[in-house]
Amino acid sequence: VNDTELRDRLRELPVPGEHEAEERAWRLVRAALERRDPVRRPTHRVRYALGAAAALVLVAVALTPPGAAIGRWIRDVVHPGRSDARPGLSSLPAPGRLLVTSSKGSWIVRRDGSKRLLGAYDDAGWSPQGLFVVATRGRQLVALEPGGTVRWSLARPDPVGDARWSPSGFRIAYLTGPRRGFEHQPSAPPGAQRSLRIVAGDGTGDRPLAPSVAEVAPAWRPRAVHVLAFSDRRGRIALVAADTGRRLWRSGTAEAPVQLAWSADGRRLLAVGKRSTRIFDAGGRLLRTLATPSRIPEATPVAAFATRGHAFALARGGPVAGQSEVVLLDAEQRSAPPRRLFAGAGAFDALAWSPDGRWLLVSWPSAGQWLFIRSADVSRIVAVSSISRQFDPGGALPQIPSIDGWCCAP
Amino acid sequence: MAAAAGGRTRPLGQRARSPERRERALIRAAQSGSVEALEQLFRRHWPRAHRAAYLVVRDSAAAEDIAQEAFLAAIRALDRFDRSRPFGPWLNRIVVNRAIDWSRARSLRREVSADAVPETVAPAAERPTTGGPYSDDVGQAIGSLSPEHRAVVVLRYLLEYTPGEIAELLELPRGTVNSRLRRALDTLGVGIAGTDT
Repeated sequence: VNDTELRDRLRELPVPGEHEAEERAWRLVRAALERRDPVRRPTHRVRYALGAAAALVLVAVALTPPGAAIGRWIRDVVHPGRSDARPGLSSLPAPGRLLVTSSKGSWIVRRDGSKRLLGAYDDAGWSPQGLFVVATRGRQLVALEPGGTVRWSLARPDPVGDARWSPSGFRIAYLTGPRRGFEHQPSAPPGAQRSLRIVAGDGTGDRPLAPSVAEVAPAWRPRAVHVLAFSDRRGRIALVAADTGRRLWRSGTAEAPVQLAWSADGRRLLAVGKRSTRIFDAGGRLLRTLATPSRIPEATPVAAFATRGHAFALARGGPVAGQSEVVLLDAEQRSAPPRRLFAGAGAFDALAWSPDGRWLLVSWPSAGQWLFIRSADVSRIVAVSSISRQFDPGGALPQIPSIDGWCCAP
Repeated sequence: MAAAAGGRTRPLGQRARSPERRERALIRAAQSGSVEALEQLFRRHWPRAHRAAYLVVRDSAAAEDIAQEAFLAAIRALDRFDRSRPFGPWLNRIVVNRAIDWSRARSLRREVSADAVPETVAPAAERPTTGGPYSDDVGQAIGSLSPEHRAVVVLRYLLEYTPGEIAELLELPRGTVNSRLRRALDTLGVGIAGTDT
C-alpha cells in the first residue's frame, strides 16, 4: 500500500451513521449559535480611531511612569482577576458554613470545601443559629434542615423571595407579589405590587405586614424583639414592630435602596442605594449620606457590617473608570478616610464576613473569582477561580453564585 | 447572512474569493450571528472532523460526541476567534486531541476491567455493508495502532497536514511526529498486506 492508496482508503472508509450524526450535530450547533448574543463589531472608522488611541496609549505606557500605571490598568481590564488564584474552592479560611445560590440551586459549603446541594431554590438564608435554612422557589417559601430535608413549606399565589429569619428564630419576613418588571404577569391583579409578609418560624400564622414595598430584602434589627426595617417604593425606610404592626419611625423620601443592613449591635442601619448610601441610627436619625456613584452600569454597591462595632465594608465603583473597589468605612467616623481593601476591573456583587470577623469574602463576577481578604492584614488575599463552574457543573452558561450568608459552625 | 456580515445584500460566495478570504468572511458573518454562514462552515468542516475523530477513537458514538463538542467549543469561542488564522486546523486540533484523550481513557478503563474485549471496527449491528474494497481492512489495521499513532496517520493522510504542522498541532517535537508516522506506516503496511492477500 502506498501513500496515495492509504489516503484514498481513509477517505472512503464508511463511518457508521455519518449523515444522521451530521444532522444531529448541526441542529445542536445551530441552537448554540442562536442562544448566544452576536458581537457588535465597531465600524472601520471607529476601528481606526481605536487603533490610533491604542497607539498613543502604548507610547505613554512605554515612555512614562504614569503610563506604566495605565498599562497595569489595561492588563487588569483585559484579564480581570488575580493571577495567583487557586483553581477551585478546596476549603474556607475560617470556621463556619457558606450558603450560596447558583442556577442549579442553593448549596451549603463546609469549611473543608465539601458542598451539598440543598435543592433547586431561587434564594436562601440562614436561621440565626444556622440550624435551618429558609429558601424560596417560585411561589413557595420553604424551611429546611441544612441536610436538605424540608421541614415545612408555604405556597402563595404570587412569587416569593428575599426571606429573612429573625434573630429570635420565631419569625420569618419575606416579600411576595409580582417582581419588578413582571407587574403585568397574568396571575397578578391590575396594579399589584410587592408586599411584605410575616410567618412564624414553624410555618404558621402567615399574614401581611406592609402592602407596597420596594424590591429589597427586609432587615431584622439585631438585639430587638421582632423589629423589622423595610423600604417602601418611594425609598422611605420604615422600622416596624412586626408583631403589632406599629410603625416606630419612617425616613424621608430618597432613592430606593438595593440593600438594608444592620450593625451587629442593632444601633446602625445602612440603606445602600445605587447612587448613595444612607446611615441611620436606631431611632431613625439620618447620620450621614455617602455618595456611591458607579461608572460601571452593571455595578450595584453592596455593603456588610463587620461582626463587631460599626465598621462596614462597601463595594462600590472606584475612582478609575471600569474599576470597582472594596473599602472599609466606619459609620461613626465621618472624617476618617476609607481604607481600600481591594480594587479590580469590573464589579463586585456580594460581601460576607466570616463568623469570626477575620475574613471578608468578596464575590467578583467580572473575574469569575471569590476573594477571601484577611481583614486584619490586607496584604493577604486568597483568590479562588472557576467558582461559577463549581456551583453549576455542566451548565451551558454558568454564572457566579450569589452569597446568601456565612454562618456559624454546626 | 451577507447583511449580517457587513450590511450588504449580496449572498455569500457570489463573488469569486480565495478560500481563505471566503472562510474569513464566513467566520465574520457567523460572529455576527449568521446561521447561514455557520452552516457553510459546519458543512465544510464536519465531514473531515467527524471522520478524523472516528478513525482515532474507532467508536461511532464517541466520534460523534467529540466532533460535536469541538463545534460547540468553537461556537463558545467564536467571539474570541482570530479571523486571521484558519478555522480548520484550530478545529482539527481540538478534535484530534480530544479523540486521543478519549482513547487513552478507554485504554485505562480496559486495563481496570478484567474482561479483555477485542477491539472491533464497530458494533456488528452498525458495521457498514458498503464501502471501498479494502475499507474494513484499513479499519482493522488502523485499529491495531495506538491512539497517538492513529492520530498522526489521520492528520497526515486524511487531513493532509505536513509533519511540521502536525508537530505544531499536537505540540510535539517534529522528530517524534516523524518516528510515530514511520512506525505507524510500518505497522499499517504489514497489517494491510496481511489481510489483503
